[in-house]
Amino acid sequence: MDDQVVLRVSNLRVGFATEDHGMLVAVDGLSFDLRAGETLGLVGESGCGKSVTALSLLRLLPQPLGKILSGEILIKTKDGWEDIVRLPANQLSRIRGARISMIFQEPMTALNPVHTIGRQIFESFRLHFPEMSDKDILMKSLELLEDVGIPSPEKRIHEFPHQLSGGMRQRVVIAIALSADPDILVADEPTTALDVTIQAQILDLMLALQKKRGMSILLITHDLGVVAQMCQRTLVMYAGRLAEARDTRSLFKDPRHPYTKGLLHSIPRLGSVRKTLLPTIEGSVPALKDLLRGCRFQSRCPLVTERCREEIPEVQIKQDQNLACWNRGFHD
Amino acid sequence: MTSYILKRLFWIVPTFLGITLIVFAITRFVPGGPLEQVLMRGALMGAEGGKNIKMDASSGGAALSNEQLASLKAYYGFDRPWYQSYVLWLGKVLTFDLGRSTRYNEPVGALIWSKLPISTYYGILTMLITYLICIPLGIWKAIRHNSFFDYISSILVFIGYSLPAYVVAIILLVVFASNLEWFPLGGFTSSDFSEYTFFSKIIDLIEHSVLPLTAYVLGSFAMMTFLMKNTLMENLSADYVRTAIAKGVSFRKAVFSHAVRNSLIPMATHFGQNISVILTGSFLIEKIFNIDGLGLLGYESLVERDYPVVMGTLVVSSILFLIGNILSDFAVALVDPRIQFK
Repeated sequence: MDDQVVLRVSNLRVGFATEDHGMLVAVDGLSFDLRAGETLGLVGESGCGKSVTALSLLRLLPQPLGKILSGEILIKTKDGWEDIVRLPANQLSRIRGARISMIFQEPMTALNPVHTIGRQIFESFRLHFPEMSDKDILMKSLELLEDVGIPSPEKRIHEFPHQLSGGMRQRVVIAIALSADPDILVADEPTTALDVTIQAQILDLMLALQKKRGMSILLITHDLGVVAQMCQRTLVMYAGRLAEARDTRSLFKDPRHPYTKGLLHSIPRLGSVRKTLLPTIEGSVPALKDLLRGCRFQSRCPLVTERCREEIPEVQIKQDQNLACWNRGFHD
Repeated sequence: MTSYILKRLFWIVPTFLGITLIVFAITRFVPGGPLEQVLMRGALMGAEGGKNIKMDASSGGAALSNEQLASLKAYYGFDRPWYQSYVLWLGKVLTFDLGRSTRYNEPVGALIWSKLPISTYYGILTMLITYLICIPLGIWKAIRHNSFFDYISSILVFIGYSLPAYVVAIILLVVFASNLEWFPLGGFTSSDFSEYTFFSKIIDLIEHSVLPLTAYVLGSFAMMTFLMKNTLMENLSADYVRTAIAKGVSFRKAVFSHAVRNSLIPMATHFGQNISVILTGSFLIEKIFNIDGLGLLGYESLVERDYPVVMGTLVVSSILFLIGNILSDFAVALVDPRIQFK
């Protein structure tokens, strides 16, 4: 295995048990690598399975409905590779927070409203560094809050979440996620709930912290602007499957998958003619319960052929690039 | 904080005036009052042994003379318009004088005071047991939602809830006191209680308490259990529990150190209401188990039109209720730091 890889997801299938439609597969056969120190973007529209993928990485799927059906999630630890999918539940807390951490979309509800900021950070230190003294924990926590850009942390540490703004809360959530110095940070739409100026600050903060700590980030977003700014590589998902995974620069310059192409075309540009309709992708994402055979993008694809309706597109691999389309290759 | 308490205490005054004024007025306008009862008794006696009582033409055929009537009116305080009497009564209440019982001819205050320990004993124990059972049971049911245990306990809790407390009390009495003879039939203690040693006193008290307490607890049981279960389940699916688990906290610890405390907030809001309801007791349970508490006193005084006692128990229960509400606020503030007194 590539030395640089810190997380390898292969053939991940995640399903949800439903009463009316049985097991619905939300993520189907997804594979990707995350390398040390890189930021990988995971994009796609609502319901394409990107958040489910993120939650699967920490085995945080809503219980008892969500289930990892098959596949592997290998994470690099000191003692070699461990498969998160097969880890017994009592071993998970060794991985969660310590090796792989997560920050969430909704900073307003991600913190416990009845515990102080300090207590919620201390908890993480106590869990992962039981030998640390209370004094050290306090010092480390203040340092961490300072790192995530919280002014006068010695005061804030005694405050409750409701006394902080949304942006400040997200900083605290980031501080908690980083407290045990994880190798991987999974960020599930970390800026979606924040206003635009705060978004930029939080993204800058994540970049700065990544530089300082050398961690890898899996950034889940539907905002292509964020992807362009943050990610070295980008994975595009559609209806639970991979569409295209490339380095961000070539993805934006020369999208191969018809879906990616459609997505990029629908971004308004400063240079475009005013007051014309923005191009869109016709149709809408099929619901998980009525997925068709073959390629999942077939109903909206301008290049659709008979083969697309029959067979699932094979994933073409060129170095670290992936493309799942019958009609497009890397060079045509 | 201080100004908040003062404000809340201040608002007790108009609420208290409102409650007592309405009830006082009702006692004056409802037929069958003490005066009429005396007159009726007099009329009955007159009809039975009539020869000794001379009929007085000026009293309109009644058994009593005008002077007697006037002195009776004065005795019951009906010699003035009701609003004057109310002001007089209120004035006395402010000096802690609740008047005299027309039935026992004893000071109402002393009467209530003598029943208070019994009601407080049952009230506090009921509340403690209810919380001690309902909170853990609710937690357990939330964690094991949809399990066999959850279903069975729900069925039992709902059976208990659908039976009125007095029905439960009668069933308990028939089965465990009358048929099985495990527990005494009623009363607060045995009649020769004062001769017992300390330990047998305690055992005697417990023996007498088991059945009434069961009846009391079953009443408030279902609501508290399900309140706890439902709020905890809601909190378990909250984002902050997921955050806690994501940082490596075990599920068990996430439940107890994160979700439970948040789930206690709605429980705390019920605290004050429970205090007043429970401390003043349930007259039906007291009646069935022959416990001489406040509930029974209030009920009997109402039936017998012993209005000074009616008003006296009302004063006690409404003050408990109003203070209970303030205590509720404090309980909520204790578990929820977002609440601030301003």
